[in-house]
Amino acid sequence: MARQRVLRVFEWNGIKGADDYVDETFDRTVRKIDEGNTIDNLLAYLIGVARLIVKEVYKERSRAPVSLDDVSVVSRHEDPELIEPDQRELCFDRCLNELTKDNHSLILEYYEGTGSEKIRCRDRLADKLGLPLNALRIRAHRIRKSLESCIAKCLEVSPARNK
Amino acid sequence: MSQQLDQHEMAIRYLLGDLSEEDQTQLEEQFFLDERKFEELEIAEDELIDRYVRGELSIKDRKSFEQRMLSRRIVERVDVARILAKKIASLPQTQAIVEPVQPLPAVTADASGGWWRNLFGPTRGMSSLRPLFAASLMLLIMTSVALVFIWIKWRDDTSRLVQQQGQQEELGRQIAEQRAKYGELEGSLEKLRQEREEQEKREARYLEQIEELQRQTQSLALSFILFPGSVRGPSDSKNKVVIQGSVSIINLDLDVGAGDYSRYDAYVQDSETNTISKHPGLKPVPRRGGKYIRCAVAAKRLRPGVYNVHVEGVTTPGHTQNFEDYQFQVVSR
Repeated sequence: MARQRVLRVFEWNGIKGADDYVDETFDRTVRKIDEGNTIDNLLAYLIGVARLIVKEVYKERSRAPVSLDDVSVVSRHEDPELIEPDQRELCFDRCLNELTKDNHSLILEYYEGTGSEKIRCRDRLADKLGLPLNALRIRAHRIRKSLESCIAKCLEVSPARNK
Repeated sequence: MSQQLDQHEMAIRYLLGDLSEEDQTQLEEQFFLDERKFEELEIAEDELIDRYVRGELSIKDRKSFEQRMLSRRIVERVDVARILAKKIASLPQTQAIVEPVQPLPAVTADASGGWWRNLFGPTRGMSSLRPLFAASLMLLIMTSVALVFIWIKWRDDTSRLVQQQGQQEELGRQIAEQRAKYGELEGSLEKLRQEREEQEKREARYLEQIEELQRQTQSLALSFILFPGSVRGPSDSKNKVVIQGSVSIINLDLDVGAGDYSRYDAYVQDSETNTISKHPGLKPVPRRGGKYIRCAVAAKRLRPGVYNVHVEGVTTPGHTQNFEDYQFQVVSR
């Protein structure tokens, strides 16, 4: 859990290669403990070190804006293990159908519409389920998270991988 | 709710790098250390990815997203989001609601099915009047409930008012009774007051009468001083008692200066030595440099003529000695 949190610090601050910086964060923290320092709240300390490293990276690097559409294309060349969109779609459909009937309906209804229509759809959905909007949002997030986790596992075992 | 929306928007701003250094630090301190708030950040990431995929971000936000969200994890999430959006877009709108969603056990409110959903459910593709009818029905139900409450309250108020009215009438009756009693008492008191006034008047009259009598008595009493010795004749004014018609009492003040008795007995005698009045135990009173004893004799007993007052000195109780004789002549006008 701590590693995931520290990872997010780098990801959400736009730091590429976040995994390496996560390792750096833990290394620094362990060194501090080895030096005899007592850390009352480990997670808070780790987050603090991660933020410090982010500042250090900002000082060292400059990044040019890159569209994710281009990244996808570029990444496909750089990372030969990237999955083909069709395979991803197959896993998506499979995992979607593996959801319970309620979750299946909820996830599709929740992401229906755009702009203000999307907000009205979510309000109606919340009323239908008898949930506060925030509770609906959390539920949709968790269903999506489980869907994405299922898709990732599906892709790992998928025989049709682009090499 | 608005606080949650504010936190959600703040989280999205954080992910886009729109917060100040101070706000960013504060958010990271709060959101990364709290489980629920961290989930808010993840939800904000969902929302941001979704908006990016659907082209709902502004140019500035899109640029920020592309600059910051570079990790492979987010790239994969973007791909999944695109597939999801494509899937939803490909479904017919009515089919997007695949099955009626039953409320899950963990849900706090009970979303019942059937007629409720038909009445309040999504109206896409159905009559646009249904929501209006549902709203009207809800308004009618709420109005009815309100009317019932008002009626119950009115009924309670009415019964309370009736009770209060009864109490007031009872109190009024008691007040009237008390007033009547008070009136009676007041009448009795007035009567007593009048009686007392009359008694006081009577007493005053009595006192006046007594005073009058006393005045009359005092005005009808004459005093004469008598010295021991012989009677004066008509030409001698000494020891001459002149009695007017209105005088009722004659006070004979006898000079006993020559004696030293503590008490005297006096006898008023006519010219034939008949005693017409007795005066025992007279105590001498100092007056005008001498000593006198007084004999009060009714005037009607003293007809014109010569009288004598025989005085004896009392030595011991029951024993007396001759002292003096006082003679006087009564002359009436």
